[in-house]
Amino acid sequence: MESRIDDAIQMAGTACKLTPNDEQYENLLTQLKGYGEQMQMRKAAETVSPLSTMQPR
Amino acid sequence: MSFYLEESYPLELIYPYLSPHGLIFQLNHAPLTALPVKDIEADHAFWTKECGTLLGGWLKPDTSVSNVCAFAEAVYGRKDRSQFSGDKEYVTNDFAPPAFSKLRVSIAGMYQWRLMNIRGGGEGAAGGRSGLMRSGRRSHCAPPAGKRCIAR
Repeated sequence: MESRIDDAIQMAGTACKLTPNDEQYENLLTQLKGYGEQMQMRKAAETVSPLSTMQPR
Repeated sequence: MSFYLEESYPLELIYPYLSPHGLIFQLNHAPLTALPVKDIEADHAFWTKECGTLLGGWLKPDTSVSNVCAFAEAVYGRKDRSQFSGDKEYVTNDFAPPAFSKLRVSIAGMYQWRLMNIRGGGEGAAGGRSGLMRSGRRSHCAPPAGKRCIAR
């Protein structure tokens, strides 16, 4: 899934380069990048053990 | 009597009736639970040949998106056609690439619909590998991975 998002970001980036100032492509690229970041954050959160977040008494 | 359709707007209602027929669709009399394997193979062969002739034969189902983007940026962005081995008349025509890509995307859309809506039909993933390639105002899709999807 992550690689597909990366592919989509790359394609949208190319579309932006080939069609400068196209608002739709720019918005798409922004949304895809945001979605990619969200996915990375979610993945990072899942890999953190609940125990490691507990504060010592 | 046979009917054929060039898609203008995708209509979900008619997807079950469509099968690929070269650049356009055949509109069948009854919904197809699965596309015949020979139709999928013929479609794959058709688009492989067309893409090869027009674009130079480098675009394969397993071509990376990076390479597709690099091609688009070189050929359409920088107008660097020194490595381009396809049809130069096609690639410099303002209308042909958008028209070709629209037709290609329409066929890919039908495979995608089948993938999402019909299970066990065998052809589901045929349009799954769609390397989008910018050309003019539209995008191209790589030939469907027909062999791979048939094996599923």
